[in-house]
Amino acid sequence: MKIGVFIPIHFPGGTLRLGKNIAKMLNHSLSKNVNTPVKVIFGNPNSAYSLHEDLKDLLNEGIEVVDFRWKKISQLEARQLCQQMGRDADLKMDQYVVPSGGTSDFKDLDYWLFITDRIFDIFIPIKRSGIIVTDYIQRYVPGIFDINDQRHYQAVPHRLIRNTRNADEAFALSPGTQGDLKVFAGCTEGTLLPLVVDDDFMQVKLGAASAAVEKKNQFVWVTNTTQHKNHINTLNGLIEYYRHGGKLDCVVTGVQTDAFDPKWQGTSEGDAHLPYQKQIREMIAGNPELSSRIKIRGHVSDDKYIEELSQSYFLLHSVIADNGTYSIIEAARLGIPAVSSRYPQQEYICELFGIKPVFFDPFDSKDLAKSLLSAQAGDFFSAINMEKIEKRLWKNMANEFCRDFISAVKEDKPRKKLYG
Amino acid sequence: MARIGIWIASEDSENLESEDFYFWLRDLIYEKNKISDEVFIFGLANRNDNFKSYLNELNENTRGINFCTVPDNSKFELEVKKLHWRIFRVFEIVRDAHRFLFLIKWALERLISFFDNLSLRSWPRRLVSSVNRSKLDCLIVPDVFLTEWFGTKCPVKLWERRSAISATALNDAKLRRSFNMYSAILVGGHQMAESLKQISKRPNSVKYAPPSKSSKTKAKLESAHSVIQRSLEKEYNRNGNFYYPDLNLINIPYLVCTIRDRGQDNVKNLIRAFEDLIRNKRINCKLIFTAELDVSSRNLVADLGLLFDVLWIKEMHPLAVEMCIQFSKCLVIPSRSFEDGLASWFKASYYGVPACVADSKSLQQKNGTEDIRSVVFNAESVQSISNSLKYAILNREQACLGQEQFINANYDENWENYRLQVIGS
Repeated sequence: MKIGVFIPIHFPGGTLRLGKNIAKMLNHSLSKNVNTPVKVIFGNPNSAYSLHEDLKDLLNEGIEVVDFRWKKISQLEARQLCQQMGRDADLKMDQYVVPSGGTSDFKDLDYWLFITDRIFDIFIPIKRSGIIVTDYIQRYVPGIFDINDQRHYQAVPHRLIRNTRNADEAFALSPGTQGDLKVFAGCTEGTLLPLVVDDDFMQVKLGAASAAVEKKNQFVWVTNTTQHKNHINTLNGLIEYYRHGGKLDCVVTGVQTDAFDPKWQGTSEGDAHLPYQKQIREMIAGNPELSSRIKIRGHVSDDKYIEELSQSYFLLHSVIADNGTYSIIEAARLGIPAVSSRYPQQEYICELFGIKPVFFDPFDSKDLAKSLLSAQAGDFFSAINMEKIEKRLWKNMANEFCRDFISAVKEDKPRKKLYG
Repeated sequence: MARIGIWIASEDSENLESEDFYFWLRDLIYEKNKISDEVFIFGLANRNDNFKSYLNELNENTRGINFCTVPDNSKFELEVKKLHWRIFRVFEIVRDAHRFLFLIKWALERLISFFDNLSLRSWPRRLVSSVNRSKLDCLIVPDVFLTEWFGTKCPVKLWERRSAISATALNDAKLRRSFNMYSAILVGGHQMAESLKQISKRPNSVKYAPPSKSSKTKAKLESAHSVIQRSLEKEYNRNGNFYYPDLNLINIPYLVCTIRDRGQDNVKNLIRAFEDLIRNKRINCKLIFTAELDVSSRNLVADLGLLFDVLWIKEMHPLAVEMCIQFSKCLVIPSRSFEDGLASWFKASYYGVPACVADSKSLQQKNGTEDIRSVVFNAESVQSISNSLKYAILNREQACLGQEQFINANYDENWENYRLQVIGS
């Protein structure tokens, strides 16, 4: 059995980690569940990930990495493909895509599994396919896509949903996202897979980190530059926090967060004029407390991240909605507590891993300030249950994950009519 | 058994296209025993066709039901209607803006009256003669404003469901004249009955009719999914939005609002409250409207980025509306007059679905409003709407219990009594 795990476009953060995690689990345990040898192939979109840095752990596990790109095809070609597959299809777009790469454009695989639904054109699932949806942030923070796009039935928000509905299987990793998959995307048969953490990247550092590390007067705020990360409410919360005796610096780290530095001038990859980022820069620059206490580190290496985190008193996670962050688990592995916004997916993760962060209402900046002050005082944190966390590390969960995955896939369901 | 006719023809199509009307008519024909061996339904072509297809969807046996149909799409009639409407619009403007243009007003009134007569000369005449040929024992007219049946030579019984109508609206010469032509007036609410008694010379002929409560339909609801699916596919064919065609709605939690083309007051606040419900209160559901929203409400939905969560289906078959109510988490009646949504409310109550209702004077005048306090909202307040929706969804049983008590306190459950009144036994 050959199975391909694809990340549709280049995502540097949690999505890559999730994709690698799933590829490793399938490679590790799927063969036991299907009683036949399994070969896992990892699709590297436009060769965006470095083999020796980003994907070295996959190579170490014996997973083959194959570069791929999205090949555009016309409506006529798409119709012909559907006809060859014997699939009923109602196609109205001018252009469709299929993954292309390797020697056979992945047609020799038995199953295509996509990590996230971010496939920005309608794709034709030539092989039996599944999509693991990571979140539906756009439902809660519609501004992350151009809101007018919802009005155009062929625009990106519609295509994402259509691709997921066209896939043979759709998977979610938390009941909250499964609920969104069902209600928002209309995939009523979406399957819940176990949520598993991959902390291989931390293993080397865990020993050193567990030794006494001298704390700096800081906490870490892990974020990126998209609006669902709730920057405005968080900055307002930080203003309140400093106004009421907050003593710790806020170290900001995450993909593209350099763009929040008031001195940032833009780069070849980042546009300095993006209004949202500009607004955040101006907000920080316009407040003396924020500009002096916020330390922007940008996107840092895993090693540097672990170093910053180990030296911090706690981690701050303040989004409005997503699939829940693993960064709280990573912090817990280092013995670092967390202050987190309360939303169903994050509550689920914390419950599952036995972590009790200080929760706050993401829409209430005063509540955030209060929580930060409590965390600073240090009297709200309970002991972290390492045993519970270790039970959910990928090597311990691979068998259960593969069992659930294959029971969802192996059913001989009739293939759906394609729309798009 | 009596030969009963039912008049469903009207120029004013809106009321007759509503689910309210279909629920009523179906109950009239099929509740327990058919009211007669032979039932004659007098209607315009598309209205009769709609009703026929509604009965077919329900797998009802239509043997013994005679559809007496006239086409309603003749070019001449359409042109007359258009002209009639334009004159009426001019009259409205003149009436409001120029009080002293007496002569113009007088001339326009005459013209309108001429067109009134003209429009009554074609299809109503044909239907009236069809009624007279049928030698009916009784003709039932379901709406007080359907006046084209004047001239029929059989006893006429009128049933008015729009109990929210004010007495002043009824107090005109035409209506007074029509009182002499039927033996009983059956109305849907106490208020309406009181109003009619005041203006009728024969107050004893005004009788209170309990609302319809459809029963024994559960067995026929197995095809619910496919019925709703057909509406969604039709909507997809109309609007091209490929979110619709394969949406498995009955397996998705949703709120339903059975508004019609008119009376979409308070819908915008309902949409805002829904946004609060899913984004802030994190209650996972959709909001389904069983009619097309007006442009400004549609724009609001788009501006809030809710186009995947708030859906509207322009043409929804009454049966599909009924199914939608049955499988919903909650029915919402946002209109100023709760009685506009009364038929849907009864359906919801029948299926054990809680309903949230906008507060109004007419509601406050009812008995037992205490029982439904938690699901009655102030339509001006987004928070009030969203709180009551949340309550109804999370406390379904209590909400249903309260609404059942309220309905029993205000409406006679004994449908059979009403049926007997109608057929005169």
